[in-house]
Amino acid sequence: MNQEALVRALTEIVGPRRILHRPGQLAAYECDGYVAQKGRPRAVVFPETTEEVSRIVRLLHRERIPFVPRGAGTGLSGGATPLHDEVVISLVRMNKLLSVDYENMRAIVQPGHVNLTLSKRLGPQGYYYAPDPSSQSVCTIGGNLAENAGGAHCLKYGVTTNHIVAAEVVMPNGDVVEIGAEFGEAVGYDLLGLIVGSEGTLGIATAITVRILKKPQAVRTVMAMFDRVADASDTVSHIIASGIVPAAIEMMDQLAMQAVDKSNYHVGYPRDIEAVLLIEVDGLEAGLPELADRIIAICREHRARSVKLAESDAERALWWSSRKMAFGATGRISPDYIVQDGVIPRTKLTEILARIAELSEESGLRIANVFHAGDGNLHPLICYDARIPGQTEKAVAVGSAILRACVDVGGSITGEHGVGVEKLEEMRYLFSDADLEAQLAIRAVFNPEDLCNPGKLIPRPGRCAEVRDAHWLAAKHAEIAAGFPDQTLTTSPGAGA
Amino acid sequence: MGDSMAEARVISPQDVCADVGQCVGNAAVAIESGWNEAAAGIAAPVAVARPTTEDRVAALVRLAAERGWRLLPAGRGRQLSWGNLGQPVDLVVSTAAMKEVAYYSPADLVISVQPGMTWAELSRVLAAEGQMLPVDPFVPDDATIGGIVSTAASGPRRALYGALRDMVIGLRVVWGDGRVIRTGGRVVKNVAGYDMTKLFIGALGTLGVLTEVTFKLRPLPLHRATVLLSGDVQALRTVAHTVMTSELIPSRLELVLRGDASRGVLAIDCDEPSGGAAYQIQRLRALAQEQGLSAEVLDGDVADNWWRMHRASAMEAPVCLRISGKPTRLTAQAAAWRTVCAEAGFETLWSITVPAGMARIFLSSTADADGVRVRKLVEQLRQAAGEVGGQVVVERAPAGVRRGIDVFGGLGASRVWMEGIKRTADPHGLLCPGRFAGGI
Ligand SMILES: Cc1cc2nc3c(=O)[nH]c(=O)nc-3n(C[C@H](O)[C@H](O)[C@H](O)COP(=O)(O)OP(=O)(O)OC[C@H]3O[C@@H](n4cnc5c(N)ncnc54)[C@H](O)[C@@H]3O)c2cc1C
Repeated sequence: MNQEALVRALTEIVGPRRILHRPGQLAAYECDGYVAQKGRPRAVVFPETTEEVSRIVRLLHRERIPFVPRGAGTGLSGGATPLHDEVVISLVRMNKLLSVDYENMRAIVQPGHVNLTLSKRLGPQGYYYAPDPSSQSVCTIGGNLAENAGGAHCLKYGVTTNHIVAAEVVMPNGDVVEIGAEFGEAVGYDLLGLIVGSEGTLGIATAITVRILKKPQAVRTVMAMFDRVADASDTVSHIIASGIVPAAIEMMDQLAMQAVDKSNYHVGYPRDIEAVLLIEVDGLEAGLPELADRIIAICREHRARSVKLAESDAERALWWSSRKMAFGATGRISPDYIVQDGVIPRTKLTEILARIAELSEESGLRIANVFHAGDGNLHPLICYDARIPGQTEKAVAVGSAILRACVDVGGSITGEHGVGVEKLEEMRYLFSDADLEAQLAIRAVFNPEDLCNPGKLIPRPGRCAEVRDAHWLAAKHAEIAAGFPDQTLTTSPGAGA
Repeated sequence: MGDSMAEARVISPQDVCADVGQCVGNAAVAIESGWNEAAAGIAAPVAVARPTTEDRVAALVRLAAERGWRLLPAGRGRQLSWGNLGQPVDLVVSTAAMKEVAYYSPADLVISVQPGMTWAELSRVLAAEGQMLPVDPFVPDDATIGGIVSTAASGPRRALYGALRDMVIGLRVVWGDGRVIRTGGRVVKNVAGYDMTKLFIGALGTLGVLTEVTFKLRPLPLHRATVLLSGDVQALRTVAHTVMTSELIPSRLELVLRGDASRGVLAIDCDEPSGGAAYQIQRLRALAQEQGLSAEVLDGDVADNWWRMHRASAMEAPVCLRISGKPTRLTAQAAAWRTVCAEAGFETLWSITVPAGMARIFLSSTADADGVRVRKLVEQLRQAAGEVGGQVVVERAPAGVRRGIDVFGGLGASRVWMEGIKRTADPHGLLCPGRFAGGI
């Protein structure tokens, strides 16, 4: 099917106003929040119903044309980036809250519904949706499902997969299937569990049923500043070991503090502390003083220079905004930066931070550290200047080295941002060829021709060196690489057609 | 379906036993009865291997694949009454002898255990470090972790802590062709690759033999209390729904009913620190008074003991049915469904995990060896529950009862995808065929 015929066929499904296909219109869809690799989509369509999504997918499947589902495009690993001449299926117009059942604590949304919008809609009734990625004011619940997104409060409440109970999914062949169960145990293999976190490679969610929670009666937020990073890490381990399950424990190092203090949310962190912890407990008001006291005592035991309890909602909000701005604010201290997303066993915090400091020194690149310390999820922000020859490559290499260090201490290469195209290579470090083959075999059940978001998430086994070279090539000649389908990531039958 | 197949087959347990003995040593294999009886409803002695390492498990699975033997992955056989009656198998691979802790980092709240470890032993190991795996399934104490994970067993604690799928973060598993796969990892947050772990939870051994399970843990609560409210069922129902949507934090919210009497008990746990617990108890007492219910508060060990007794009496029942649906509908319909059970001549114990929308019905009296009356009851309940969007599963029952019925109630349009998964993990179709939903 040539471009003209394709546009005609798609227009028949969505009408002339919900399709983009002229080169000038497509630039915004060339990548997501991971900007190192870009590709031009064939077209972008904006379906409004499940039936439209199904018809689009059926058409593309029949014509062997690859496609990518897309939410808000805030992904940080290239999951929504079209690298194989795909049709982008944007879900942003499917943004309705379909129903809420407060009594039974469930809500059903369309995939384009923005995360924070849901909590705002539920707020007046005293409910909220727990997973709270820092991007929650823009990212979609469909994107959250696909990435199994996390957030600061996932320490106590769990990540997206713990909050989605059922979904309507358009499978890669266009079939519409209901998976999961609103209540109790779904019968059969846990397809929902598999599809959550599958980065849009196993189907497109078109309606999502989530658990909603009653807002906690009360919250206490503690901010503790430390002269030494190691003391802050030890505090985290000690709190976890003491039997308290805080709602969140976040950590920032000095460079990250400098960055966020330049944002609109100025806290005024001292310049001579190494780390700050933001610790929150929530639950029944009557139970919180003893928890907060205990936490404050533990911080002091580990030589916190200062420990402060938020005195008002406004102060608490400022602290959180400051923390949630960290990625964006890094732009104020560095022309370019890479956000990494490693995970370590929480007890290895001190060790990994020392390693990151070493890598920073060796490479001469500054690294700001921001992380969900409570569950060992690190976000090193590697600062570089793309205008200086060689720095981009260096930054990419440092990022990769950090992820390897995480794996070496028993961790993982991604805790919430996904593999996408960015971390394909690092997957090999974590999994054996046999493990990867098993994952590809499972993909093949749903997406045998790899038309549905091709080349993402799982690398082909046993082609390590080749991909490594290509990776460097892509980094060095991004604009050239964008021009041809990346053969190393997968052999997509649709590519170049 | 299994019967005719069995006749056509000429695999003798003695032959299997001899081959398996060569593979894992004669001491690790024996011919035993009971397994096929419980899992397939057929009196057929079978070779049972108890390998001690993952390598041996893989070797056995490869051997079975070579010979075309049907294979049942199992633990101590405590949950063979779960699932459909499958085809009779030629070899049982029991991981009961693999019962070590493979990795435990208390400070990270993560443990990896071999699947043969019993639930009681795991709880003991964790309690020694002030930790727990917050599941309380209706299974015997000596049921194995492998069995519990493979049946996705759950209990009242699901109200707050979720199900096993929320706690298992990694697995090692031998697929039906003998390859060893690792899924997930040992960190609590991890989105590297597909979350394949989920597929094996509740798969009843039809996708592979588990060789290691990694859990994320919780600290034992700093304080434990259970409030028992008793009295009129309607009043209990009102309180249950009020609590569920209140600021309170019930870690269990279980409505317990016996027979078709109009009275029952609502058991509400609090795992909050003592200040919060005192507040919650006070609120519950006030609610009880408003509704004319009596209230009793149990602390610590006494509370634990109440739950142990509850589980023990549930475990005495030979049959457990499970209805899931909207909590408000479940509690509203319970009275009518209890009448259906009573009219069918069954004495029942109901345990409704209200926030999870799961009602378990334990059927005590069954002078019903061939299961005709239970199956009829299941049909009636499916009809009644189906009208309000509920789903009825036979959670466990003796073989006789499960004959000629799909205990899961069938699969919908997702069936083809599930069959695809089965073919991928078990290409020769040798892992206890027929035991899973939809006869997979
Ligand atoms: C400043 C900033 C902060 C962030 N903070 C966090 C954080 O704290 N925690 C966290 O987890 N992430 C975070 N992220 C990453 C990102 O926001 C999440 O991954 C989010 O879930 C992506 O949602 P989206 O709607 O933007 O999806 P997109 O980026 O559009 O898509 C993401 C993936 O989902 C697929 N997809 C989208 N919709 C569907 C659908 N309906 N069905 C199937 N597949 C679909 C796409 O193909 C793609 O693979 C952050 C990003 C930014 C820019």
